[in-house]
Amino acid sequence: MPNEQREEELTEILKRARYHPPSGWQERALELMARARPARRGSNLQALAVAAGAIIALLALGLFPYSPGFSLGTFGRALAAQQAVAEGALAERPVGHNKREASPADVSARQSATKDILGLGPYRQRARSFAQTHYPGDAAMLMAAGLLVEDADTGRRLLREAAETGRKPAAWAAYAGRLMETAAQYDRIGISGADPEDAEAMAEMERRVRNSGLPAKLSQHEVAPVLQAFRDWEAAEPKNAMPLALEVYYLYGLHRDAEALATWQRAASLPRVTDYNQERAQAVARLLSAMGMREREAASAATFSSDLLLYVYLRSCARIATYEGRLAQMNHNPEEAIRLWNATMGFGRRMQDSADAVIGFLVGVAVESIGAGPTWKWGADRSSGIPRGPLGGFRYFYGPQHGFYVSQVGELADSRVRDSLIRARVRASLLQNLVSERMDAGLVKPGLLLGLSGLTIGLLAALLVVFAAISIRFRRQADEATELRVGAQLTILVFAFIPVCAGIAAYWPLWDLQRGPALLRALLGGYLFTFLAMLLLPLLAARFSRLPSARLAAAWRGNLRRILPLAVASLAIAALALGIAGKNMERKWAREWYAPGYSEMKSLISLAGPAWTNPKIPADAWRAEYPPR
Amino acid sequence: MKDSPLASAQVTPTQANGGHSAIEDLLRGLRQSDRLAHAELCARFGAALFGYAAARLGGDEERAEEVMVRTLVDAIRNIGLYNPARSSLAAWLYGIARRHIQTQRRQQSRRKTVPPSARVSLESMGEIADIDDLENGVAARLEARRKVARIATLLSDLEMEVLLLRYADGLSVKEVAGIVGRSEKAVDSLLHRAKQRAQKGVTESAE
Repeated sequence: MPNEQREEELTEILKRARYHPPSGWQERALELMARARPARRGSNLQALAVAAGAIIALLALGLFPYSPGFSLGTFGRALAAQQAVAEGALAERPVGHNKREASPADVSARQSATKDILGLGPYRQRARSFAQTHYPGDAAMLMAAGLLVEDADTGRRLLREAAETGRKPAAWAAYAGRLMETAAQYDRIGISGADPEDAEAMAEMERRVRNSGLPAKLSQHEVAPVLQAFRDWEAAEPKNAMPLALEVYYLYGLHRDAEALATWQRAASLPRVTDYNQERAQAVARLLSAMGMREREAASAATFSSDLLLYVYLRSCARIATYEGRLAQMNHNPEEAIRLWNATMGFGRRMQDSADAVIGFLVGVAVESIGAGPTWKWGADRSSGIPRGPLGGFRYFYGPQHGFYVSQVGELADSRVRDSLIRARVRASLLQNLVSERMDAGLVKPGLLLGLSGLTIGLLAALLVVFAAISIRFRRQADEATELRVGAQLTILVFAFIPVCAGIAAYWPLWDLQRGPALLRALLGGYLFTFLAMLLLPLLAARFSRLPSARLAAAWRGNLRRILPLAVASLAIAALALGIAGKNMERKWAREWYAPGYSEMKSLISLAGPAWTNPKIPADAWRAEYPPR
Repeated sequence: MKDSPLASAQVTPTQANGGHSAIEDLLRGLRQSDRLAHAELCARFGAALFGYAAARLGGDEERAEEVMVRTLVDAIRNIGLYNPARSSLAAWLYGIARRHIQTQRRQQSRRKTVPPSARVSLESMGEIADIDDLENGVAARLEARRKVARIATLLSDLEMEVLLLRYADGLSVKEVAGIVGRSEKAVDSLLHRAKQRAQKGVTESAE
């Protein structure tokens, strides 16, 4: 039978076998057709926007480890704010720096701003009722609530209750700090630490004191509650120099100068200076995490919002003692001058030895340096041409009273003063690096690892959506259109993962708080490029892998159907690994940080090892000249 | 097929594609939601789409009608998306029908019901207008379906589909290629293989 005839016969059979619609089909169809309304269609641009939005939303899962209060850049902003506060506490005006120092009022305002940045508002509102309901009788939680609440009166009441019922010295410290926030302030030339013989500096200070708007003298009535709080604290722990030292500031404001200076010397003779910074931060962090904040975030929030006001007052006390020592020297009382300066230096060293938080150590360095100011002055060396070094381009020079000091104590004692100052500076520099490392390990890296895990899940989800879409519409066509070997599939996978790996590798060593947002943007870029590579490399491969009869688009979809499951599986494993690593890192850090008796300083000193015990003293750390060139 | 005011308009898809101006008129009417255009679309393509759907759904006329109606409804809802430069109207409609058929087949595979081929359609007997032809007509149709069923066992699903589209529905190779998402060359080769195997089936059935 000829071909044409056979074809006709086949056509005939197929046509005869055709099914015909049952009666009434047209009416039924027309009825439904009459009800049909034109489908709403978005423009291509809208579709593109929706697709882009979906992908970004999926990738935004990377932000999951950050709660709303800790949006991107919060760490950076909070740290910057805290650094500004710390600078206020540490400032000791190196030679050649005329920047106005922060007053206690400035520091108090900045601290409040830090708490706002950290998004603690809702927690601060709930703190009191939460602590009283869930932890009745727990002095530490009561203290934390007192530190957190916004209302000053409530805060003071809670802290006093915690101090009295729990017999907690840390609560006394917190209570005194809270009272000092609102206590009356004053301004006297002595607080500035200016040299009484420097007419220009004195004129400038007098003008500043006049214009400050603060009274030159406090009344007993204004400061009685603060002084009482210091005495209560002192009674609770007589060997702690902190309450006595802080008392000096107010006694000087009352113009009870002799009493103030005697108290300062008494404080300097006590064995320790404990500020309970760490204990207070731990209590606040525990309360925040009990209220639902993540442990890591609670710890950082508590650290960043810790009370730095005490340190500002200590710095002022050191200035008062140094200034009064200088006056004693001018009044031909060299013994008193040396006593006051040595007491200040000793107090600073004691602070360094007993500090449990880095800020305490650094303020100790500042206090020691202020006390040593007449004989050794800390300043930038512009003549050496070495802008940076172990001490950041700064070094010690002879102070204006170096000759007098040496004549009173001898060269050996003076050189010991200098060596102690330099050692403290080297240790401070070492600490700053270690703090950054530790902060990375505890606060930044776990968050970013969890963020990467979230981003990976986002990418996985986006690829899964693509895979599902292809599978639903084109499964059969796609599978029959291409032959892509396993080796080729793995090669594509490796190449597609290069952008994201490169993004992580390039930024890994640069991880720190300040770079957070930039880093995340870069990583998002890496993930987006990987997503695109995951779609486009199979298209490239489709040119070679497609079957002769298949269209390129079908082969592309076929390749995607082969590669995407592998990619999704790899990403799932990676997301899991990153998530577990981040969680473990976070857990380990939190376990250590929240442990009772944890001391930030001890932890850092153990990290520093021999470099702390025997710090490397730079050869050019001091210069025998005054004034510095 | 029972008498219907539109029955006389029943045509094959190739005929239904009609002249250029006729299609343009039809499209204009559909875009304006003109009832007459709906009726014309229904008349031109309804039965052909039903036949295609029923053949692909193993003779399940209920589902085939559902596919046909949904295809027509989708077509008038989405007529704005139809681009005459890319495909013929018939190919576009068959493309829509094909997606509905795939959905129905997936649903069908999940259901446990009596196979459609085991059901007897009394209505299909009523389609024979002349009572004298009833016996011969039904017998011929049953015989044809038996042969098609035999052919279907020898061909792959895709081969059977292109065979039906090309010879039962009279679509061009280009249109078939557009509907099944293959190149014309691929469809040609599929058809060639399908015809060879179908001939074998027909011969075996005759023996």
